[in-house]
Amino acid sequence: MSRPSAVRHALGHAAVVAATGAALYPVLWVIKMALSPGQAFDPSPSPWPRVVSLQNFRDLWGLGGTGHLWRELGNSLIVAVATALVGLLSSATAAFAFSRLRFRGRQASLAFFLATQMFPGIMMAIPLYILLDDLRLLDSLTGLVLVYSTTSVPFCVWSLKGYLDTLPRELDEAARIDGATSWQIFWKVILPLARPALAVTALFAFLSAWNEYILAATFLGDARKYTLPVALQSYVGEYHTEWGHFAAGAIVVSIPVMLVFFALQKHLVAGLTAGGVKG
Amino acid sequence: MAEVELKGIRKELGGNAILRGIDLAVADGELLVLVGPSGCGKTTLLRLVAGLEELSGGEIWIGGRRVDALPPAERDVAMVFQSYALYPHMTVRENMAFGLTLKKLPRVEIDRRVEETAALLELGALLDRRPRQLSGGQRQRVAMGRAIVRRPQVFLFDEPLSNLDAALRHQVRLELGKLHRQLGSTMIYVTHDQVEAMTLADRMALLRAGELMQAGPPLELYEQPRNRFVGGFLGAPPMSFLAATARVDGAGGGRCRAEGRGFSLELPGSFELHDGREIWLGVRPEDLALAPVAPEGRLLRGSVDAVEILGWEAHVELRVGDGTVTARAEAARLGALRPGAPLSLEVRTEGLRIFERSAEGGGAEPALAAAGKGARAHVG
Ligand SMILES: Nc1ncnc2c1ncn2[C@@H]1O[C@H](COP(=O)(O)OP(=O)(O)OP(=O)(O)O)[C@@H](O)[C@H]1O
Ligand SMILES: [Mg+2]
Repeated sequence: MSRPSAVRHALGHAAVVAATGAALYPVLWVIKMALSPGQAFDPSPSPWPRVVSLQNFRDLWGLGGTGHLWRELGNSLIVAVATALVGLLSSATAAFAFSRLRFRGRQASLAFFLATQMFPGIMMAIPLYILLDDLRLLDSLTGLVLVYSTTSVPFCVWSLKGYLDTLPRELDEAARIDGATSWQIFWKVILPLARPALAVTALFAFLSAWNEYILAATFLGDARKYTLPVALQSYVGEYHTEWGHFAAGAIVVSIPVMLVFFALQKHLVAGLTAGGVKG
Repeated sequence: MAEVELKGIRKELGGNAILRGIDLAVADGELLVLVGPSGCGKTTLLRLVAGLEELSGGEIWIGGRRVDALPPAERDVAMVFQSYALYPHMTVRENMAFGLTLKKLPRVEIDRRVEETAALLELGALLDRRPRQLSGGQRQRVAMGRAIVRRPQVFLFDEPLSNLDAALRHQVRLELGKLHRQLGSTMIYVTHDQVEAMTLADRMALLRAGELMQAGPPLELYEQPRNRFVGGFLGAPPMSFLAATARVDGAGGGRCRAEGRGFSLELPGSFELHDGREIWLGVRPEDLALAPVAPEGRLLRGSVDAVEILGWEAHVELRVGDGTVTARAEAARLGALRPGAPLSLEVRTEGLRIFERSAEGGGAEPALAAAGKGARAHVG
């Protein structure tokens, strides 16, 4: 290595450190607010808390305070996991059919699935509200899972089909000659190979449900059914915002997301690059 | 008994006729090699036999049973794909056992067959690896093993060696020939490689644009090409063609000559052509020899177009009139032969093939029958 390149190396590092700092600063700020006692907004630029206390977290868990974070965390987990499961189960079979079988109306149904993705979710809020009301599923987590599935299933089908299309057709053909039925090809050959894509798909469905606020706030009136985003929003009042509780809640919301990311990381990278390079 | 009979096979894809009426029979235990230029329909024919594609017309019989309406699994065939198509998530053992597991064979029987086949293909040490941990040659053997464990009536191979390097290809080719003799099964084998075709084939079938040009033992195709396409396809370097006109000299006792621009060759007595007939002269490289002196009726004079030295042997392209011929010669004897230099070649006229020359032949003009023995060309 010559000198100029060593200098460039150092400059490069400095740039990366600066960028990382810029990205981390707001996060540190949220942590500061969560760890500072009280609900006031502290405008000082320092990202470090002056006094460290866990009072905000205690309040949220309902320890001596008024929070019900356990309940809200539970609701959110139920909704997000159920949405991911529904998305995965129905989209895996559908994507296999769209990718591998030739049937009447295949193109049309695919286009239809795509069309459902073109409307912003909020546009469907009122029709969905009326439907849920008819089905007596307002104020229910089941109803919310159904609503989330209407958007996540078509997306999952498309993304999974895209991945299955990259798996060589000869694998199916070899299996067919080996005597496998379509179901066996799906179950024993395609599904194990689609694991990275399944992980990405599940993660997407999970996150879309986990983060969703507007529809949940529209369909859930009963505070006992609140999911985390709706609960969080309740700390932001018209005249008064409980900044400490809000920040602590935001951290609690992001922890499961990070856990899921770490658990699926290996598959995620494989899934995102899948199709780029064969083999 | 597992002979394969193809009767009037037709296949259309996207409005194109891919196969236009193929009639072909493969005897029990025979290895038929399917050759032809790229895109002529070899893979399609194989896939039709396997049941991966539906026929547009015709019948397929395997072992006296009509199978063209049966799904692949019930045809009792195994196919080795060019890309091998091994299941990436399964070990070698699982890959080979997959078909047997689906048939619900007893575990012991499956294990026994897999071990047996692995031993035959020297895969014993690799059974617990996954395909990505294998070399190309090893994958190729696993693909073969997956076919063999099933003990099918018919094996179908689609260019199984084309992904291997030359040395490995040579070795696997020898093994494959041995394997065929050991198993005694019927095989249909697609290849681009002429050496593979010539050495492995009991019989060879040559396709061109969805039509069967000729089928028979490899030497028969080589020595008695039924048309100009067959003549030009087999042999490396290939047969050269010179446009000529037949001349019958009254004085020469009815002997035929082939006259073209820059040459006049005497045809062997077995050909009886009427005067003025337009013909293609097919000349194989091995029938041309470097010869400064030769009888006038056996001499081709021209100028050197190109010289390719391949080691011991060299190929010389000679421009004769408005055509070219390729000769094979010992490189050491060529000296410093430069393009443009004049050169004379002696033609072994007994080796000449003669084809009709007409506007509508399209490269597959039929061979003209020779009356005498030795050159029984069929007019197709
Ligand atoms: N799905 C398809 N639709 C339309 N035409 C097709 C389709 N598949 C193949 N073909 C055409 O069929 C012809 C035969 O294809 P095939 O793959 O059988 O050729 P091949 O002899 O195996 O060639 P190669 O030696 O290159 O493998 C080709 O001209 C190809 O373009
Ligand atoms: Mg092919």
